Amino acid sequence: MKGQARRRAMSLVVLAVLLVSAAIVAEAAAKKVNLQVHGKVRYEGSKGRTIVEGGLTIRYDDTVITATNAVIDNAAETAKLTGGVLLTQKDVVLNADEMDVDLKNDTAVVKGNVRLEKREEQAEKDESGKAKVSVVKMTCNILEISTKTQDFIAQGSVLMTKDKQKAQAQKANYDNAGKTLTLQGSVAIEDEGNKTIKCDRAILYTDKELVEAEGKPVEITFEIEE
Amino acid sequence: MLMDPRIVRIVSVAILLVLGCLYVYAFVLNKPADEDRSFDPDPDRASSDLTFGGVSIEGRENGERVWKISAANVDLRDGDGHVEMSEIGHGEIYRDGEPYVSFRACKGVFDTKTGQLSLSGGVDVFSGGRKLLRTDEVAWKPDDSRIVIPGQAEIITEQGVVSAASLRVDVASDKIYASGDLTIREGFGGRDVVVKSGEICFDPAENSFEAWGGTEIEFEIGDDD
Repeated sequence: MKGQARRRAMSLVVLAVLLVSAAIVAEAAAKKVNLQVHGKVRYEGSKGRTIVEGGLTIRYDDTVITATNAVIDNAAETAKLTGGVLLTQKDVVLNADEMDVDLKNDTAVVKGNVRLEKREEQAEKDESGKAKVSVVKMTCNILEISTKTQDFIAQGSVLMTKDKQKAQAQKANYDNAGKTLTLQGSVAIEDEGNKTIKCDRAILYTDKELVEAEGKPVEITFEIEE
Repeated sequence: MLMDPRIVRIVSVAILLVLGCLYVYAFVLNKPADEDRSFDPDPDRASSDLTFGGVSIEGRENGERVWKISAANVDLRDGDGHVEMSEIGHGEIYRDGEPYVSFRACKGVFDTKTGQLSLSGGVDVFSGGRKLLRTDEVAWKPDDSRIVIPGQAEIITEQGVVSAASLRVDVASDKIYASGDLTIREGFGGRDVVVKSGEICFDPAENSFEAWGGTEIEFEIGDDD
């Protein structure tokens, strides 16, 4: 009898722990979104959308997005922002003409005059022992970014600069964890001292001065001092 | 001749017992019910007041009907010019001579001096055959053409319930204005939305609202499970 009561008590404890854990996980999964409307807002419940005109600011987690106009899909939790779109998050600043943001999945696709700037700590240290900081600048036609990981995919006339390094390609995939920018399609990299690399695919390390080039052929041009 | 003291004691105790039973019967068992007192909330008022049971009365403005109420009890108080109605089973507010909204409430007071009709206690307002609002206090002044709900109110739409800190219904323009926080239940992705704005114009038919300048909208998103 005693053993049965103990087993029942243990089951209740386990159930309680599971319920509390589930509540904590659910709390952690949900995030608060704050939408500040500087102009006019029209919420259309029956049509399932919200229209904002005249300026807005969206804040969630550590992401802040500003734009002139927005159409929000209430059920899908997505928004189409237009007019001077600016996204800032940690060390990333992203400008574009328009943005499709998926608040639920932490992704944003930007189009038109896309300009991205990312401050990147370098592996190299300065005299005081602090990590040097470089700013990676990029322009392209379309860019898809994850605000959760800061990974992005840039497409169409991709141009990248970092310190004295310049690169161009048709497509660029950035992996924030590995600090690598994978360039694909008509890749051309211009480095310090007029050294150029032309190839099909190149991996560019954004936290150090290292480039891995692939493809047939890899064409490297550099000047020899006479 | 002196009586036996034992008999005197027994008789005294018996008399006290009978008196005690009479007291219990009269003031405990047959105590007047509170409901009976509600018919006469002010016992000191003038004796010329009139109470009617189960009647319909209506208010008029410039000869035109502006409201009509059917109540279980109606008290006409000649002292302060108030008409008190209780257990309002059905009432109507008119616009251009036609019923605009109907309602039911626990209590209503019509001030004959100001022309204001005040409803209180579980007020349900209906429009087009469906429930539109649920609140505890409503004030209607025909010459202002406004229904004022000073406290918390719930607007019932086809998509769900919207809570507002206070409301104002402009009868002439057929618009509802909300002040303070407005909470739309399950407004975004099945979650509540809180709207903070100076003034919000709400359309219950479309479950939509418009707000201008300095509006803040807050909602939660995340995994549904």
